[in-house]
Amino acid sequence: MTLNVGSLTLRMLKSLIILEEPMIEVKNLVKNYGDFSAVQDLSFDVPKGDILGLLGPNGAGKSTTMKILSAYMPATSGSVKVAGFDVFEEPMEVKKRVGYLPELPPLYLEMRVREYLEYVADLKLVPSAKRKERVDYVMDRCALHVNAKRIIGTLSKGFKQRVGIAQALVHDPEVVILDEPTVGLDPVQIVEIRNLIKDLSGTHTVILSTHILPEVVMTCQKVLLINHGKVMVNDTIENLTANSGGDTLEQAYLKIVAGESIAHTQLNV
Amino acid sequence: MFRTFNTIFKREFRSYFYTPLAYVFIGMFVFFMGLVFNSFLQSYLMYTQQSQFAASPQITIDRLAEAFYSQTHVLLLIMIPFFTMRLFTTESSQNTLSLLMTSPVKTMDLVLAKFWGAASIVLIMLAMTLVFPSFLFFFSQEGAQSAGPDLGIVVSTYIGLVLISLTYVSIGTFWSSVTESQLIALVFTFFSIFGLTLISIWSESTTGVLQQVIKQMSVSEQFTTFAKGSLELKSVVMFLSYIVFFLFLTNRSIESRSWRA
Repeated sequence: MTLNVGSLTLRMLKSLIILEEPMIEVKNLVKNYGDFSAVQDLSFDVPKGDILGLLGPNGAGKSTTMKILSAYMPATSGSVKVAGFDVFEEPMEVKKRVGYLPELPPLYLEMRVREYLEYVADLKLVPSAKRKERVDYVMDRCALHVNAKRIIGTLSKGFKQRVGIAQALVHDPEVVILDEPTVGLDPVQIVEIRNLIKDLSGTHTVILSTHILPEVVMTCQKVLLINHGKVMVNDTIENLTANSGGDTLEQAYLKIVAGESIAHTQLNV
Repeated sequence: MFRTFNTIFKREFRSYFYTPLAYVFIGMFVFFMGLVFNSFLQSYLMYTQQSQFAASPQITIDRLAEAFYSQTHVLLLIMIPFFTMRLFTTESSQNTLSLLMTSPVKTMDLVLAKFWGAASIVLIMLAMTLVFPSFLFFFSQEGAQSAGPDLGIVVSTYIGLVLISLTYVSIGTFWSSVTESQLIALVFTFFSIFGLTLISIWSESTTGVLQQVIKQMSVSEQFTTFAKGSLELKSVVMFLSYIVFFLFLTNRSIESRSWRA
């Protein structure tokens, strides 16, 4: 009896610790491509259920960071933990729990939409009994039912992008990593996809990169601004705008990335 | 894991039939084989009418069958690079390799599934040529001096052809994994396969151990032992080691992709 109680408290303690443990934990991450250093000493945490906006100019290291987080490629040094698993030590466990949409959606152009999503579900080890349900769900959320039988290569850019988002969500991953998810979408679709991402918060941990700043304000709780592979700001949107003395995220962004002068001209225009 | 292998294999196999390419190639292969078989029958008829061969028709038909199967070998040699050139090249150019690399897929499962995808198409193509020896068996006269081919030789020849095809497919799989261009994969596969076949020519100008080594490495040299009806363990082992070696290289090449991505 005492033993039982003991193990119970131990389990409760454990679950407490796990609750407190962030979903994504990046420590001193460095990635070099030959002489070029894409990411330099990046550290940040993302708690479970949060949506983090990854911002920064082109070549800042956003895509590189996302590739490392999804266990697509190894880091030069530093440690990355996703859902409690080290991406280098246990990449298979991480891959089961991560949905990743790269900049260029990974689509087999000669396959049909539904066929492709079923294939991805199989790849991600979705149980066969749940496959139909999951595929239907993501097709619903990404408004793909009309095009279920169309060949992906014949779809417009926006639809291809939606198939890409659907493939990242089909296995109901704990962590969703989206590299510029709303590129090429029309205004209505953008709103739909933003709502979809917002709905993920709480149950899923999301990292999304984008150049559309209002999108960050609408969907994300926190912002990670990186430039030249280094963290410039890691804060909530309110704090970021308040600390920089500007009114909007755009002004704050310009001040941090481009310096005062450009931000000022931007204000006058 | 078997499920992953199965998923990738099924997609790979189906992908040959998304475009008419596979139909065209298999059709062409069977058509040319038919032409070759036709000329085989004609020369057989011609020989049997000459008196000195009539005494031992068995020898004649097996000789001709050997020539027939070396033609099959040449056709396979030309066809296989076309079936393997897009295996990994399109995965890179469509960025779908990133999907595979971020899914819980072991690289070896991926490589084996890709290899079997292409290999099964080639084996189906090869199976279609079984119609020709069956034809001979079916129409050969019953009796003491029957004109049918030797069953043992046919079996050992087919084992040889299967092993050669798998070797060529593994070479093609490897070259498709090192480049994003289908054309480069095609050309390199051609050169490697021709090299393995023609290496025996080089052995003529060498002597001693080197000559022996080259002879053992040559695919065409090994194939003739199968076509003559002898099933040698060392030949089987050589083909299997070629296959394992190239699949191992492919595995390494795909794994190294993620380091360079």
